[in-house]
Amino acid sequence: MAQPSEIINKVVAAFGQHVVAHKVFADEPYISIRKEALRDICRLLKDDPSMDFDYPCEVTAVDYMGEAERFEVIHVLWSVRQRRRVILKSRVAGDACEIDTVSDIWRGTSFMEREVFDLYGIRFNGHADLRRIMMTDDFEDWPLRKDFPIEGKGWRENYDFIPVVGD
Amino acid sequence: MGLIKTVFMTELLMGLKIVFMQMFKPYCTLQYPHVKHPIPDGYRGLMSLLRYEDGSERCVGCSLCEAACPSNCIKVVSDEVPGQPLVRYAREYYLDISRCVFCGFCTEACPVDALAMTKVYEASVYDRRELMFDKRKLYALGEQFLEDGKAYLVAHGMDDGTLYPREGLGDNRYAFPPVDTAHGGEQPEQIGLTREALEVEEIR
Amino acid sequence: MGLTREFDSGVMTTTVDAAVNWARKSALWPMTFGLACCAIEMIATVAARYDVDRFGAGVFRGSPRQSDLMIVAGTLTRKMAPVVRRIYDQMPEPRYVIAMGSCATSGNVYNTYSVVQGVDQIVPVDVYIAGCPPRPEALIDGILMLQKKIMEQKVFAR
Repeated sequence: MAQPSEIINKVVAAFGQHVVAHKVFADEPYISIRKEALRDICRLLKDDPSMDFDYPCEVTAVDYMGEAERFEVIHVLWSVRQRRRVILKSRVAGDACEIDTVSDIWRGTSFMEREVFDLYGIRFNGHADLRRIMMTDDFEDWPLRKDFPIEGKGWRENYDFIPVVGD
Repeated sequence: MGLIKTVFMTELLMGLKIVFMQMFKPYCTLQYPHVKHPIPDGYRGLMSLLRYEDGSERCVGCSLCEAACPSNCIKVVSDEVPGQPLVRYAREYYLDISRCVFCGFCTEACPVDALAMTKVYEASVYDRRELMFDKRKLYALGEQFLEDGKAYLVAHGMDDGTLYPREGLGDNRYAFPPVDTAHGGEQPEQIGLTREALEVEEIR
Repeated sequence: MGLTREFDSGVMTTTVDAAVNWARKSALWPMTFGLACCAIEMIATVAARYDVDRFGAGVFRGSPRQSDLMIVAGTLTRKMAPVVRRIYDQMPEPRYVIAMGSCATSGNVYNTYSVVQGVDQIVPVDVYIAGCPPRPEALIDGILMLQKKIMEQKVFAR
């Protein structure tokens, strides 16, 4: 069973120039990386038999409004055989919200990336089917961004589907 | 054996026997509009405003309940008591029952125990606007169900029993009424109809 | 308006009205339409302890074509709203709607971008039941109020 520091050491040894910061908190490794190396690091974490992260727990994002690199996409990976979790954090700029997809590495992240795209507006390059999943297709905003008002921008009062009596 | 089971449908008869045996058991249905459940003391029903013993309003208009409300359904308009510049009261008090989640945070936030929740749970209306309770209606509820409000305050620890002494509770703050599972025999005590409480127009 | 109705309605029509209304109120078949936690209380209302079948409203149908009453039990999101409207349009006349719980009545704490602030914005509602969620007794109380409303309707006398 790989210790958290071993996982960090392997990632740093392979992609040292792309690792921004790392720490061990609550016996779990947290690795902040640059988004260019996300796919390569994910492949390493999955294919290395001593780490063997075969189950993606979740893909989510955080909005740090006001900072230069506004969004932080978080991948939480779990190894069923090693019983070990790793958290990858990669920052995305606010104006060009793009990051590479990992849905071809783990098919299960497809819906989670669609959800992040739906609620934050972060595009995943290479995703086969990037559509909205929570909101309907006619919705035109990114609701979980910090600058989105909680009452919305009038979409919930839009009742175009109601038939007009007498038409 | 299988042929006999298939021809005579013995499984069906066995099932019907169980159905038939139910006829001799006491029924468990609560005859609701005539008989009502006894409600425990800590129950959070509609909110009400309380008065002091001399009839003056307890509420001082501090708007803490408005701040504590998770759904922003309370609106308090505070004002000075005429002639007494140091004493304040709630000139208007609105509670939107249609947005209330019955969490009881408002009663816990209240520093003078002016709010208490009653055991009233029937609030069906034809018009949604009737669910906006104003000050008169809340005080009328508090007057009609004063005992419920006192029991609520004691049960939730907002009153240690000195303000409203409760007899026969022992070490417990709660008074759980006995609930019988079969209503074949003695019926539980009826609680007064609440429809009148919602239609009270005049107080005092 | 009231006076003309008084003159138009004879003994015959009012008696037939009462009979028709009695038949309507005694067989209110609701539609299974649980959207959120209020549905649990709706299920408890149908079960043996409260047994809404005593009022003829316990035959829950899975199809809107066979039902008279839609109990909207729970939070109605904007994405679900076209479905509710379509189901309401598919129900045969006379049809009734009960908004059960605070979420269906006004949206409750969910004053957010995706929640419809009350089902009365998309379908006409007959009875609102406050509570979060309402007790099964409260739902029976709402059904009794709806039956009272049905008995006051005019079917033939106009």
